[in-house]
Amino acid sequence: MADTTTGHGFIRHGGRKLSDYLVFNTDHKVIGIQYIVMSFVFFVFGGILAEVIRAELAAPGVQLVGGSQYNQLFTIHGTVMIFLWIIPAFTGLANYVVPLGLGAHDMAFPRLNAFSLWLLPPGALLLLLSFVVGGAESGWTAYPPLSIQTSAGQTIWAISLQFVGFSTIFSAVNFLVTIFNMRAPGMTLTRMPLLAWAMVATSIIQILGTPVLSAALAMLTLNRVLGTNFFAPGAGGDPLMWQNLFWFYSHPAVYIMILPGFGVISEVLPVFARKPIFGYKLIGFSSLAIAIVGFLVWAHHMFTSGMDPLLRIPFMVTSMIVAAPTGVKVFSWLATIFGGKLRFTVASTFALAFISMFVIGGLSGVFLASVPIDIHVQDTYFVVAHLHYVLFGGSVMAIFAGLYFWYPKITGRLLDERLGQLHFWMTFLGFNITFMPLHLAGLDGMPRRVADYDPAFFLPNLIATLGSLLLAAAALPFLFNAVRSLFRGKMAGPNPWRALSLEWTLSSPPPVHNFPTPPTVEHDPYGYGESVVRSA
Amino acid sequence: MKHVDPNQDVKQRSHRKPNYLLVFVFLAAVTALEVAITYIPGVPLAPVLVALSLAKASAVLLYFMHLRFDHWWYAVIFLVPFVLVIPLVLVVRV
Amino acid sequence: MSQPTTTHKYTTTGLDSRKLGMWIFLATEVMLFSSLISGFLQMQARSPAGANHVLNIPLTAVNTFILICSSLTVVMALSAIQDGDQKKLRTFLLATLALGATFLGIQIIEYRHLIVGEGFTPAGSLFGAGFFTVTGFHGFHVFIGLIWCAWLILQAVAGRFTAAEHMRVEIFGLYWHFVDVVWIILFTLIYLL
Repeated sequence: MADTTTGHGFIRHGGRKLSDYLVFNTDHKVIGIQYIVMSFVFFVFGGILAEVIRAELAAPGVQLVGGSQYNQLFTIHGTVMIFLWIIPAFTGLANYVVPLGLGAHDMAFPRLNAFSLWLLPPGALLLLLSFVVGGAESGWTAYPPLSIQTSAGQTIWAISLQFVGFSTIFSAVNFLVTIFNMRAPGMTLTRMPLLAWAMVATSIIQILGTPVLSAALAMLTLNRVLGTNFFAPGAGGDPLMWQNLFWFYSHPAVYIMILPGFGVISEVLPVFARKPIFGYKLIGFSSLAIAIVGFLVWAHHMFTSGMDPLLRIPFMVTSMIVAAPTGVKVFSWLATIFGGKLRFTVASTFALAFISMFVIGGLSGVFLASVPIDIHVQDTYFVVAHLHYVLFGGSVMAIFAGLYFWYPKITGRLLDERLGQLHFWMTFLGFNITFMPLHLAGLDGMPRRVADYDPAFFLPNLIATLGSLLLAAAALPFLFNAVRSLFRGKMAGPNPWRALSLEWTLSSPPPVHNFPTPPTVEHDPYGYGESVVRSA
Repeated sequence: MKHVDPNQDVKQRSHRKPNYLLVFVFLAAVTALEVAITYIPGVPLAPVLVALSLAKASAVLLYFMHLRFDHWWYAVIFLVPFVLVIPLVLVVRV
Repeated sequence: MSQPTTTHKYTTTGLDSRKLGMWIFLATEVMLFSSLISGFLQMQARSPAGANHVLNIPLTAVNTFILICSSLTVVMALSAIQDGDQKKLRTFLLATLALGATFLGIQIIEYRHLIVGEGFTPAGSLFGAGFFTVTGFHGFHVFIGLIWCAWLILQAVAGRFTAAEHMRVEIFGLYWHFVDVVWIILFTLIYLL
């Protein structure tokens, strides 16, 4: 019995004040909100940088920013979007939702959780400082020798990422222990929400990968500051070693950025298809398969680096294999919808768009996995198009699906569906207009990371810039909606979507300590349309 | 996870206490042996010393860190990274 | 020895969350040191044979022994509090702190001798870069361990540990032993081979 009257005023989480959200607080729900809000600020900042890049690229020649300024723009854009937007946004959503979905009262280590969050502001400040000081110019990939030669901002950039790295490592420890140790009575591993499986896989990747990046960044920093010539070719160092260590983390990092998204989609689709998820075990285990195989593909970023040519073949093979578990998920989601009674809300619309956009991005990825093709399109806009289809068309769409889905639970109010539809269509159209042409520009040979380009590439760039304006504008209805609905949205009640996972058995917002008594669980939360209690 | 004993960790530990002093003597002796071997000409240093250092590391892991007596999950958690270490070291080094 | 009554919280797996968390954290440390060691091996491969002859093996062997002693003392500290012996807990933790500090002190003296006496510096050679980086990271981990140990001693003096509840001593021990294991590997790889 949802109360849909329009209330006024901000709903307090059982006595919480607004100031609770501005300070060190160990409640996973507060931390989750803090992560989400913080990450969104960086989304906007990273988007502004992208708009400056697109403004420059609207026409050939250098009009606004070139040279080292331009280099810094794409470096900081990439770094911010990856480390301060996508990863923390998913961490925040998962932080809020997962303990509730498991029937737990909080994460396993609440103070460590807050510590993970509060490592981000100093990291972000250092990153901004590097931008101000200047010198972080070698892309988010920071290849030496350039990254050894640039000025002080590069060192600050490297140090800022250590803060972010530690944040994710501690966060991963927390999620793993929480998911293994804090499930409600009766919740076996195959009865827990698929978002929890996604976070297990994500956390395993973070545990095993992030320290390697940390070591690489430390070696880079020491190379710059102390003169330890790990990567300096002139002094006998090995620039390829940077690439190996960097990509050993950074390829699995892309799975860190998508696996939680897969989890969100698995949560959202059954609710709005009113059908149980198809292939629960397939989806859960494929997440683990992605985590494992994802560690064996990294050198596909290095096909043109001068690496041992023979080694390219096994990496090509593994890079194609890694697409398979994702394919399993896509077919499972389609099978979930098939025969269901699909209801189009903004959340489910974003989830459906996710599937199609991510498949496009995934397909261009399979092309890139092929050595003969990659040799031609490495460092071109084909790669830029691919990565934005998977990261924006994929991850960001999934973040929005999750935000629209759980906003009522978090705030107690519904977002306005019409503003949401406007946000969706502006995003979907703006995104495709921006990035689809870039596939062609890349195939035709337009190099990335350069401010100037041959006039032959003018048309796709102009279209992309126009598309980016629409995409940027899309943020406005979302922000307006999100803020206004806090105060004037329809009351959501405990379960506006008639969903079955545990968080929806609580009030919206949930009580401060979540469940008064731990719930007992007898089946997984996907029994839509079933009138009989199933055994798992 | 039915019928899990919440005292599992405590019970296992309280029943098994190895002879720490004996392990220490083993570690000290092997260390001395390692140093001594480097003075003997003709010994293939790499395989012998690596094996000896792995023996020491195992002694610390199994007995001081109690892996031999604790639930095998802890050992799995510790060993899994080594699976990845192999391709990492190989590709970086090669 | 009696079965302790536990203040142990219920967990789904039956494993203590803090212990589970520490082992997962140690997995990250395995990856960290493996990366640094591969960096070292690459630098060693690009250096002339015998580049490590500048290092003082006898002194470092003694230092290795000191660190192994500290692993013994920390596990004896744990054993003591498992039996409820507060005095031995404090004594063995203090011994661990002293031995660890000695290890670090000798490392610093060795570093100074290498840099000032032998002209063997991080920037001066690739082997130097690898050596100082990987042993430096290890030394930093020892340093963090010493601070942690000192904090535990204060807590022990304040009576915070009992036979029933002393998990924080155990997880410190796990960290400390791991740092010892890393050194066991480093000693062989860097000094002896």
